[in-house]
Amino acid sequence: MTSILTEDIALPLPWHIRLRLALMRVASAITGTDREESRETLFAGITRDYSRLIAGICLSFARSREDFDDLRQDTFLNIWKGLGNFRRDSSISTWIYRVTLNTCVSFQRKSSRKDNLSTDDLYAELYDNSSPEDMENYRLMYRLIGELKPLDKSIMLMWLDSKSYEEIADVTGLTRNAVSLRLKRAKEHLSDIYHSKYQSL
Amino acid sequence: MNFDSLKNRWAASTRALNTSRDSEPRDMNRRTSLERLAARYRSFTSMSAVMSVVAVITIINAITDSEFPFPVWLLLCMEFYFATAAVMDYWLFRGIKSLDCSTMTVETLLRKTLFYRKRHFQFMMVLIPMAIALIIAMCISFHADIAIIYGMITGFIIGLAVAIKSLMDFLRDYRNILS
Repeated sequence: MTSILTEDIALPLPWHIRLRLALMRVASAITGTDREESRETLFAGITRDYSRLIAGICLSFARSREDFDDLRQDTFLNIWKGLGNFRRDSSISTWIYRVTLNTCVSFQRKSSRKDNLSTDDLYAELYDNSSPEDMENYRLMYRLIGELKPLDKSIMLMWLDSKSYEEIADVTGLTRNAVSLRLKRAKEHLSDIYHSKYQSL
Repeated sequence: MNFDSLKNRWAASTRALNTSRDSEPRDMNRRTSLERLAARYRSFTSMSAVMSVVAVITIINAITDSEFPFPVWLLLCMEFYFATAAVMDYWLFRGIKSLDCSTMTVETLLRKTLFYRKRHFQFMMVLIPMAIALIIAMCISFHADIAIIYGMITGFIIGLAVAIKSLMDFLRDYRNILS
């Protein structure tokens, strides 16, 4: 004996249902519901795979805990807004670098805050699984990188993450030679600061 | 200094970062700092434009009514001041709004950010003397009423203090960014 439900499924759909489905498909294409879903999937993937990298870059630019939180929030917002225009002609990691560094260099602080990194609790929270020595080393490293000017810092951060000169040039908008020259100068500058201030690093 | 060890330390520090807070729900309707700045310029543009329209209406009243207490030349100065401020703020609003973190290169964005900061400072340097001149003109015009003069002087001192504070903040940020 065949149930009514089975018969319903087996039978071809009535014309008005098919028409409604076709209209729904057209509506989703016009409103971009499908694109919205793929954007959400992509964003969830970025949050999962790149949140450490984003946090590290934001920490290099932050002067305070509030700065860090604002920078990270702004970066994720800019990624979300920019995903609609993201074309896959560059790799996603290069694009993430572009958005994160741009957010950091154009960041407008809400008010004048202390320049020194009074972020003990932030480091304790972010490196809760690390030993106190490691945490101190990381803090000194961030402080050292923080001494660089924004463009040099952007180049240095990408170089530390083993990005090629071409990728750094693509994100920063400089030529390959200019990247190489700036990186050399930034290293010299870091060496000078290290020897004068942070010998213990 | 060993840069290879720095590279290793950077990799280790990134791996060790605890980003569990990222799983918390985010407020996607909040504004970024650049959007907040653009909104501030937009509100200044609106205020200046409204004041400019009010000044035009007052000028028409002053021309048609011979008993009107404000002299026409003073109202014309106010109109010029507010119209200039509106144009400058609108220009800055459009500029800041055009900055796009997802498509521009870091060098371009940094250069443009610095450019608009510099323009903001220059516009302040134009508007502040104009405002001082306007206050002096109002003082001359209302010299008979001592209460109004005191009010203007108080406003001037407060405005000057705020302007100096803004200038110091601007110069500090500018020095930090300048490469």
